[in-house]
Amino acid sequence: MRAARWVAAVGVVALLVAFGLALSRRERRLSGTDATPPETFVAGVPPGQQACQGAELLPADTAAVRLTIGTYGRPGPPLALTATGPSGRPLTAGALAAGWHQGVVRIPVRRVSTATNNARICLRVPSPPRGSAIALGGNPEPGFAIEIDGRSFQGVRARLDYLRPGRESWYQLLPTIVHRSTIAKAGFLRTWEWAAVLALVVASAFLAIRTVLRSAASSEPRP
Amino acid sequence: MTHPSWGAKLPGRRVLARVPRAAWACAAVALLNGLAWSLITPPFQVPDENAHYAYVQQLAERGKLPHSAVPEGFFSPAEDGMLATIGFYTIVGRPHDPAPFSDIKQREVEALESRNLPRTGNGNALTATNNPPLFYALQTVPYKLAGAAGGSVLDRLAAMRVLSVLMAAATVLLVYLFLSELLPGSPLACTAGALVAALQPLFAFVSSGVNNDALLYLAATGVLWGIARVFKRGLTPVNGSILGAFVGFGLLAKLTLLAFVPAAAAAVAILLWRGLRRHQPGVVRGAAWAVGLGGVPIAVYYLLNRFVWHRNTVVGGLSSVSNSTVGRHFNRLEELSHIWQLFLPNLWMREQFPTYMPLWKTWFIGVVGRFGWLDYEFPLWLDDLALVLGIIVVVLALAELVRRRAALVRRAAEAVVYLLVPIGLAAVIGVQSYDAVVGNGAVFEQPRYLLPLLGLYGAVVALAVRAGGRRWAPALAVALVVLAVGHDIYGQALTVARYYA
Repeated sequence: MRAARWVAAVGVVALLVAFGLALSRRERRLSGTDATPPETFVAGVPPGQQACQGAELLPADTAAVRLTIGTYGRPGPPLALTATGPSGRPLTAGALAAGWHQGVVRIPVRRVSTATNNARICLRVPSPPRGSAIALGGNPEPGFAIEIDGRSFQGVRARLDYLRPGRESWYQLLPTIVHRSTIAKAGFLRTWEWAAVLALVVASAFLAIRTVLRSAASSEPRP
Repeated sequence: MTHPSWGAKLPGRRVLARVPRAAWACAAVALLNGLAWSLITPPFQVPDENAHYAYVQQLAERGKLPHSAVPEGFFSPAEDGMLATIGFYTIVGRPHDPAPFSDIKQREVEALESRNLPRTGNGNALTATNNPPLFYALQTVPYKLAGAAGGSVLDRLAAMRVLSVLMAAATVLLVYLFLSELLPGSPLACTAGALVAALQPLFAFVSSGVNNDALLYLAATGVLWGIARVFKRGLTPVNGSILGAFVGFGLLAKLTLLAFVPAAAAAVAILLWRGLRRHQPGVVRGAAWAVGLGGVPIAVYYLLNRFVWHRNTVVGGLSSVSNSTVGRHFNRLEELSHIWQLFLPNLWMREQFPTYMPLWKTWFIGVVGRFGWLDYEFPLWLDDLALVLGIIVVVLALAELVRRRAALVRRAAEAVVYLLVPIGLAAVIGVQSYDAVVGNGAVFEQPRYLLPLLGLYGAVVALAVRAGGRRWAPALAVALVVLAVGHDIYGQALTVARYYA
């Protein structure tokens, strides 16, 4: 029985250490996304022009926008990104210096504190010689459109991920996760769901280990 | 802790009182764990939950079973509206697209709920349409209770999930009872086996949603318990009734339980033959109860389907494909080859799965943990670790069987019956898998389809614990349960990361 207790103690400590370390890993975290799979290049933007996409939900706590951008193999040109509200009011802006590589690109923007629905995100490429053509990754999506210098291309949407400031550990993200767990859930669960989850996980783990330890104790031959 | 001495009669409370406390504790672990999973997993993110919800809604709102309707893919305005508002179609199958984050979405959900959209649609429930009705009939109770309290689609779904979790807890209780019949005198092994089953993350995940698999798992484990009882205690009318009842209601939960019918029938046939030779009283009545309770419900269901509801019992028939959309033809030999390769390594046959090995990718990695609409899973290092641990557990279990070979030989008929269970399940899954490949080139199989074997999964763990003998069994049992706790919590953490980060 002593061995069983030791195994339980060491096992629980090992689990706590493993989860503790895993939760301390810092990464860039999403503040939101337009949930468009970046499966193909849906819009080419010539130098000196800008591409705009409406119907975006610009989430609170956004400090960067992430896109999939192709450069036809050339070094990335400087980019300027602006976000405006439905009335045209500027919400945020940011820029990326020349020299980036094609692929998934992060453009830092001024931090957004409140969410705005139906925002319009525009990406401008400067004219030559500083600018060169780029292509935006996204997917055909009925009901959406990308405008390039005022010309509308229907049925396509670029993938836009909105990122929170800096890199955060799971511990730092925890209050945000708690809040997110209240969104689009049953009304009677919303406010206490996170506490219930925590209690249930701890209780089931505790009960499982206690049950097997008790069973182990009662299986010992009696003197 | 006393070992169960499950009586021959079933007089309600007295019988329940004789269930060991450890069995209740294992069931409570499954209940707590399942509730946690049901809260963590966003609405409709358990496979086909939208279709199962639609079935319940049709049954509760119209009092009718669903039927195929054109255009497919539309449920009631209330459900369709909610699915669209919560971004269901932009989440499923897209591991990088999380659940809705923004308060704006929450306000949209509340606005939709306040519109009180109609809860009746065209009567179609997609993949669930032709399922038997038992699970859905039971789910109308929480559906209506939540509705009576003014609940929306999301409230009703959350209430229905609680019933599924209760089924998971009952399943684990049955796992314990099955193990205690199978391995008498080993309460520690039974406890470890049932706890590891309770903490199996895929089982907990699937059972935490509205999916008739939850009732299938319960019935399948009940059939295993029934088989173990008749072998240990004889084919009495009570034991025959238990076995037959689980077969009967299991078939009304999901026809996958057909996989267990050969094993149950073999058990009854063997024990009837033995009983008649030994002139055991009541054995014929025991067999009659088993056959009656096992066969009558499905026969009635078939007749009702055919003559009253005008529905197909088995859509398209079994083991046949009339029209292929991918230009393939049904071939019996190829079907056998397909079933073999679906579960075992290819030896000499024509390749059926040229790009992957189902034994590893579909079944092993999947059962270790592939969640959501099959869109996220554990990292590969955990699968490799699970393989090593799994091999150790299986070797220990085999060692225990070798050590107890005299008992194994004595119980050879029973062992063969248990072997029929995975063979039957492989056949049922394999036949549908081949039909799907030939019919439209689709992949039918999913890891959750193996979970009716949860009782046998627990049995392997229990055997491994017994292999430790008096000295090492306690430490081994605790180690396996702690590992199962870690495995399960890792699955929950993965789910939180998938949907909320």
